Amino acid sequence: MLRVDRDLDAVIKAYDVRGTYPDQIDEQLATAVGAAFVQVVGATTVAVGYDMRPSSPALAAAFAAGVTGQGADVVDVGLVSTDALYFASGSLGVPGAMFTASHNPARYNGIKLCRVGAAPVGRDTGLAEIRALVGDGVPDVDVPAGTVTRREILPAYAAYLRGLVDIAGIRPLTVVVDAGNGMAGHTVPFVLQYPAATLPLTVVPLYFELDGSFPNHEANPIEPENLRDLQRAVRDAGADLGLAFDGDADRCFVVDEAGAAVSPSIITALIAARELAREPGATVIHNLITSRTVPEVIAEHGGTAVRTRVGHSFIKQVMAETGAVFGGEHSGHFYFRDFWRADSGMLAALHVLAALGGSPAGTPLTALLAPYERYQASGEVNSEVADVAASTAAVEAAYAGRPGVSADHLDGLTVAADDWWFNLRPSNTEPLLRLNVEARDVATMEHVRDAVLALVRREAT
Amino acid sequence: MNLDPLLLEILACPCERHEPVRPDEQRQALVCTYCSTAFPVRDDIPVMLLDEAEPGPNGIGQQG
Repeated sequence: MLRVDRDLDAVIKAYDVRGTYPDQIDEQLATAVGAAFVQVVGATTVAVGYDMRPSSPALAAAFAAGVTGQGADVVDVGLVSTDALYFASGSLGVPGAMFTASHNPARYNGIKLCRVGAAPVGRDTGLAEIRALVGDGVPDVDVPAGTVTRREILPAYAAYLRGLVDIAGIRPLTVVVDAGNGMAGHTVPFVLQYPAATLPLTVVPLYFELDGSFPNHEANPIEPENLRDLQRAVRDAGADLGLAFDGDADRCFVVDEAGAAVSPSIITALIAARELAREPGATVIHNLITSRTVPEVIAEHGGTAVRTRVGHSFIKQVMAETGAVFGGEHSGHFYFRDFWRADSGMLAALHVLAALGGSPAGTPLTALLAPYERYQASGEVNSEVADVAASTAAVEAAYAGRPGVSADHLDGLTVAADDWWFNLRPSNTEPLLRLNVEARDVATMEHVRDAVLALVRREAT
Repeated sequence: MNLDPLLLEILACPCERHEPVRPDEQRQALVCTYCSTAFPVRDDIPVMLLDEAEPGPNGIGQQG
């Protein structure tokens, strides 16, 4: 029996396993999770991939030993991005496990699990059972051990993505890619550079060397300071655009030719318009803190916009229920029906390259995106509060009943008027309220933002 | 159907046997060589999802 004596609640989270190596997550835990995963999902074969962190290969091998000990086989896909692991799960028709701690610092590692076809595994879809099995001890089974087979999937991954978005015929573009020493340094060459000279792209690589100690900057492009090197490099190179990926290369952020960061909401609107041109009348999902531009653009292109709570499990679930073709989040996650409803920053990047490369010669990215620049956003503003419910109630009381103002509780509190809206939602893990405000102009946005923050923070003291 | 050979080489049925699939031009589908479950190919994009597939004569994962 495999038993692990440690604090499992600290590492087995809502959507993944995450913690510091080796004190919270080690090989013994990985083996136990591998064995429990086989039992919970009933797998006969599991695809296993890992990122460039120094601890990743050993943890993946230990997990594989847990899988084979239960009689199931392992397809070892080696160093991959998280979306390439989803591709392995979808194309090979097997459950999968990815060893990564995404953008977290080097001392962290973790496991993202999925069922056949990249279907999510979260607390309510198997992770709680895995946690219980690991805690109680995973029973041994009397079966012959499974085998481990090494398989290279990145060429097929690249071929699949380029089949979904064809960039062979675009006008020549220069793109700076900041991989942040994460997995994009390994996957971008397959998708954008091989076979050599067949694509009309000049790729200027920044930090492509795989290095889990992240020597240049944190691989988390949602933080503005992590985009500075890319912004400078785009301007210095006179490039058409820049792309930044996070550590496991599932999220992608875009920088325009002037070096300005493009909001993921704008990218969501751009991709929505492209997907609706390909599939008229389709449904597109957006979470409730993406820009109001997104549902407007979806409607203008004849699509149906569906609004969801924040979080990938909600997006994937609603995409399956509605048959949606695409979904986007403000956080740089982009989900595609044709990619097993999983998220792929690389596929989003291909859409941007195809859109810009398909525009008339000389069109800068800022001009291409200008029709989507309609609102001013505050970005996410966090406030530490003693009583999340009391602070939220104070805000709601202040706005309820005002003429022309509506409120809903899909996720936290959303209050909307003609020219502005805000959402105030609690963190799942900390005593924080997260505020997002958007308005027609900067002055209105700042006025609403400061008024709501004053209410939140007055209640907190 | 216009599918990349690299992709055809890797695609497998999500049934328990994970057998290879072969193209069926007439049905515009990829068909499992073990259970004959058919996965539609739309606009040259294979949809390898069980909830979108047409099960084989003896069901998904059953030889047929």
